[in-house]
Amino acid sequence: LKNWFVYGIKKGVVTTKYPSGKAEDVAAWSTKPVRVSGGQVDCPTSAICGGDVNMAKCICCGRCSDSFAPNDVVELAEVRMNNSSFKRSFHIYILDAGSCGACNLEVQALGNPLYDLNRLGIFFTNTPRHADALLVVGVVADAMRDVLVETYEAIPEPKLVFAVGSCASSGTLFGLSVTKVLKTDIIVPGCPPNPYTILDALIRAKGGVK
Amino acid sequence: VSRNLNYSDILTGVFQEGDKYYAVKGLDKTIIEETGVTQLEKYENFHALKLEFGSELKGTEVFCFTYGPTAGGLTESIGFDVYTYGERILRVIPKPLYKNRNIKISGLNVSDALLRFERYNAVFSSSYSIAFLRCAERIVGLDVEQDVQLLRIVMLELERISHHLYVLGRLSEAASQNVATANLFALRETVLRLISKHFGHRYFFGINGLAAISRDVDVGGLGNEIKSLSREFMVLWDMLSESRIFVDRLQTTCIAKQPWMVGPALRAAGHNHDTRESDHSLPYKDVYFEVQTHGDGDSLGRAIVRANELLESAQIIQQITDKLKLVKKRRIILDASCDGGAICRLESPSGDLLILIKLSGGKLSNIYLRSPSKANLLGFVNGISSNVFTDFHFAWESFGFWVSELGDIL
Repeated sequence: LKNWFVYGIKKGVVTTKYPSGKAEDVAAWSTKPVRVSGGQVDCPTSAICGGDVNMAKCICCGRCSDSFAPNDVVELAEVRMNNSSFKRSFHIYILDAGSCGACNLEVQALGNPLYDLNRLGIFFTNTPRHADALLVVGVVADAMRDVLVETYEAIPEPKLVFAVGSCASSGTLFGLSVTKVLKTDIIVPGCPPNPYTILDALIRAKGGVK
Repeated sequence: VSRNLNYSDILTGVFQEGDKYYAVKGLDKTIIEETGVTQLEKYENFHALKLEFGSELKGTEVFCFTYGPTAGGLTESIGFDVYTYGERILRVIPKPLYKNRNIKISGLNVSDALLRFERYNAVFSSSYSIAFLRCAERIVGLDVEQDVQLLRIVMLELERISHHLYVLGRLSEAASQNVATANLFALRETVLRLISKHFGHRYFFGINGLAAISRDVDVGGLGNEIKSLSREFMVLWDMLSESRIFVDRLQTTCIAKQPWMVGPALRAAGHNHDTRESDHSLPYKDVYFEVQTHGDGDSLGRAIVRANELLESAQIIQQITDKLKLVKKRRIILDASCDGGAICRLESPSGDLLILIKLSGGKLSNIYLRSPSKANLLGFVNGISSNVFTDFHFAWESFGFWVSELGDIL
């Protein structure tokens, strides 16, 4: 026990100051690509329309890298509805409807000391009955459709629904998006979204920092 | 253990073409032979490779309850029928296909198929993409330049470090070692940030290409960064290993010693086999590392193997990055007319993965993929019987399973 205490003191505080400070060490190819030069781009998900990229469709494959460069901005989420009654305490239930695993881990990463979502009054819960929001990752696989709807119905009102990742937001290469099954309040694009992007979406959905 | 076994008769994959069954056998060498159901039935893991795990259990006071498919303790969606008469688990039947995405790859060209392989199991994204590309490169007869091959090893070893930290963090979390868990997950986040700093993406999406990489990658400084990370891990692991609670919860939990398992699960059962040594798809012979084994085959053994492998991976990265700095991007377009078939085996963080593809006119016509999770799932099912409920998570996490890679790829 003594060893752990000394180790912790030596280590110091590692937690980010975000959102009051800036996001550190962001993966370039989790942010929005912007056009930097001309040329045709063969986008596999048709995310590029003219000079703009629809991030809900973007799978961060980098095939556009000859003409586009990522802008390093993490605030990518589209918050269609928020609820400030969750400002002090916001409980999230995560549901994997058919993901590759990356979005699951980026959401889970928010619990590590570098992000520490608890300091912002945000918590993961193990049952939908205790949740204020449903956070869905992945496309909706056939056998998960009923599970998704049942889980949504188990969450008491008021509630919010997040589609996290481009698969959940648009279906990308793999199938049905969550937006086609449930009314979705917050779209968090990216393949996978950077943890900062998810954190920003959670903060805005609960009406800001307490 | 190893001396008494005939490793060439181990069934490691089964696929069907039309009415015909083909068995993929062997650990060190791969043998593919046409066979029939009757011959395959003699292999203990034949049905498990098709994700069939037996029938319901009946008996006095035996009842079944379902865990999953969505539950707080599980990272991914999967169902389990758990048979019990009380505290003890009698049988577990996994139902792994809830989140099956039925990924369709047949008819695609190599470049479009690669996007799907990268996202089949993102946690092993570089393993899948490199194994797939090695198959395509063999079919086309493309030579891969040495710097690209070495960079591929760096990616695989970074992926291994990141994954082993995740598994050890999950085990520590299950044992309520909260300080250790926080530190292990913080260390994993540091690895992901290093990956994104040098490769532009935390899961290597968009990096690998046919005999090439698609972005300039500078690994200068990575060796020292990994060296300091491995030193920090050693301190953490030493302290965690002294925790009686951690050790007691893992020791003798879910003992699995079957030789048809792969990766850390196989090596924790005393089998000295690592695909990095037996397969020559990548120049692992140019770097020094030791295959890590343990004899007990329990959850603690699997954790120890992972911890030691993590340190070996750090050394491999240091050896390569001493010489390798900047690798420039290249682009190779595949000749549309290429035909043929190839197989590749590669050591992913959870063990040997096997990919067999056929190209016809430059497009994929047949695919067979056996993931490490598919090879090991029966080991978990056998091992967890007679354990108690509270052992479940230690057992599950110690194998490093990923449900996404149990899904179909067609």
